[in-house]
Amino acid sequence: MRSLFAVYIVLAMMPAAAAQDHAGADPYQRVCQLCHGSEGRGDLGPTLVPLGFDADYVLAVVREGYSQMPPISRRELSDDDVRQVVAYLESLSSETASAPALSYDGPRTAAGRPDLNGIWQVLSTAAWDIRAHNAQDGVPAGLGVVEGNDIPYQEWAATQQQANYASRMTADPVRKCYLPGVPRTTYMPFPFRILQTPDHVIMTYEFAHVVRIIYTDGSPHPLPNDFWMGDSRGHWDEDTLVVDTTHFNGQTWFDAAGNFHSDTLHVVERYTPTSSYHIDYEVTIEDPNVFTRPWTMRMPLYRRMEEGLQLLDYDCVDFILQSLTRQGPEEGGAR
Amino acid sequence: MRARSFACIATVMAPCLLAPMFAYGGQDGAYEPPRTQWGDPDLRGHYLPGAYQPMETPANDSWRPPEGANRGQGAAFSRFFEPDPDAPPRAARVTTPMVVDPPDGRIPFQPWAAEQRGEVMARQDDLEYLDPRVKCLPSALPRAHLPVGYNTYQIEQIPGYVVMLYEWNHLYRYIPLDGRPHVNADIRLGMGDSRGHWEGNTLVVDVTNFTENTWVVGHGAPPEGAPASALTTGHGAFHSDELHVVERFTLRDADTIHYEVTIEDPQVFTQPWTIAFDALVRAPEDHMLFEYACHEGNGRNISLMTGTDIDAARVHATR
Repeated sequence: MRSLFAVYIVLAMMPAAAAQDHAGADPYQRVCQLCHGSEGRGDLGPTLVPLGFDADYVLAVVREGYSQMPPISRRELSDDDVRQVVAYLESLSSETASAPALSYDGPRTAAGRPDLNGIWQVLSTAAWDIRAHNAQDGVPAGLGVVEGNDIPYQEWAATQQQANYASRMTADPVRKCYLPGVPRTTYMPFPFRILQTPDHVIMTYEFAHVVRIIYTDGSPHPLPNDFWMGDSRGHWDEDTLVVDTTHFNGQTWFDAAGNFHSDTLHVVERYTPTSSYHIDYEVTIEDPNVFTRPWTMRMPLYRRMEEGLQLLDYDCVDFILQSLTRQGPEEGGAR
Repeated sequence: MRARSFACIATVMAPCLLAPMFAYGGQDGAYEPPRTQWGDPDLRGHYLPGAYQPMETPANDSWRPPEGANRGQGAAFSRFFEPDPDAPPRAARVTTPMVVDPPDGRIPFQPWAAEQRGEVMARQDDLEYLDPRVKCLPSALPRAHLPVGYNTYQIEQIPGYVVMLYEWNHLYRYIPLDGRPHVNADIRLGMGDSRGHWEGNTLVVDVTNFTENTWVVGHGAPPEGAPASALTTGHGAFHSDELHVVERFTLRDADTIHYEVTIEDPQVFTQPWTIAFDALVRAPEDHMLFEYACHEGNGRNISLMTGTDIDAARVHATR
């Protein structure tokens, strides 16, 4: 302990990395910072922000030591000091956590989860192209929804995407009215309805009456069948609905611009409600056969507010049949 | 209950007396279903198709498919739903027709419509007349509840809504229970526009706003021994945009939902008519709805029938 004492003294004389008014900042910097880093960011010891422990647990670890951490006496750090340090770290934790999103204060279900029941819609141009793109005839321009606007295609896959783009008017599976896959179904320019029960979150989409039944009962992915829409299993991480989807058939695209994946696609969606009317939607895409690393898309979901709104039909199968029989529905009679 | 009162007024005598025969809810000795936390009868759960029985009284003489008609069932079949040959039969085979009104057990087509139905069935090799379900169009109602071996069901409830999910072709419908009016008459929906309310323990659903490209009924279980010429499956029973359906769902015991439906379409039928049968039988614990991608596997069939490349057709349609 003698050498540690020496370090404490040196530390105490060093200027604080950042001005800290909190009563716990001083004892933290004096005793803990050497190993746990400035503002609890971690160094030799683990990061302490966000702090996953309560004050009693921290007190016990401080007094008895844990793994590489030496025990620390009351003379160096009183019980009050420890409590102040915990309060200080918690204040840092809440600053960090609240930075990207406001905490949710909307309605909750009987089980205490955010109540997502209702009709939602993405307002973006991701359905046409998830990357930044200029307007074309019938296609609005958009800034894109891909983090860094960079889809990390493997070389062959970048070439394939360009070929897909060139033939998109016939090759896009959605133009043939095939199921749009995940996450494309979310940002098709149509509303969708979330039905939330204690065991599931069921998402029903106006486009082609697509359904996703997301089990939130802790059940695993089923037999290794493959599906157009994959198999979705969800769980709640605090107020975030996390949906893990695998078992894809590799025949769907991410958008109408030919961005694609294989059947080893793994999608993790995070639905974080930030108010009664907004959900922060973040999707991480992983596919080792197509991309060099995982990548992320992000966009808000907006609650549709029109009174009496209900999902209607976009039954594109019927449009295809009409084009084949060359007659409109009013001429169809008893088809 | 517009349909039933219509029946009583239109045919004055017998049908009014029949009405109570079909009502399960609220009778003495009737099954008392569990309740949701908010007090509605609890229909939630997974269900398999119920009783297989003929649609109509078999009738050899009234209808025959013309020479050369394609009488194959034609429906897609998914390996997921193939019945387990070792499993005990869950639903009894009933030989009486589903049609309980009119009493002769026949769909009351107007003469022109009976003729038209014959033509529809004779031309099943023509895309225009082909069974809409084989084309992967929505089932409409009550057809979505008629027993076929590759459809299963999930019913969910939240306060103010009953939601029904159909495995076949991933169809669904939200049934609001708050008494709101039907959607604007110009709006047309493959599964119709459903509005529900509870009458005792019975869920009553009024459905309108259908499209014109579906069939009212039709299912895949003609009764054993039925003559080949008997049109017992309900196939070819088309309807107009005036179709109005009133459904009654009643739990008759813990595992069985009795389904009674009155079908009204003054353009096609001579009177409102009613079918009644045990439509839904509770599925085993581990049952789940699988994805039923219908149209996705149908492109080749459609191309063969029309001699058209489905991709090319789509491009022409948008240019």
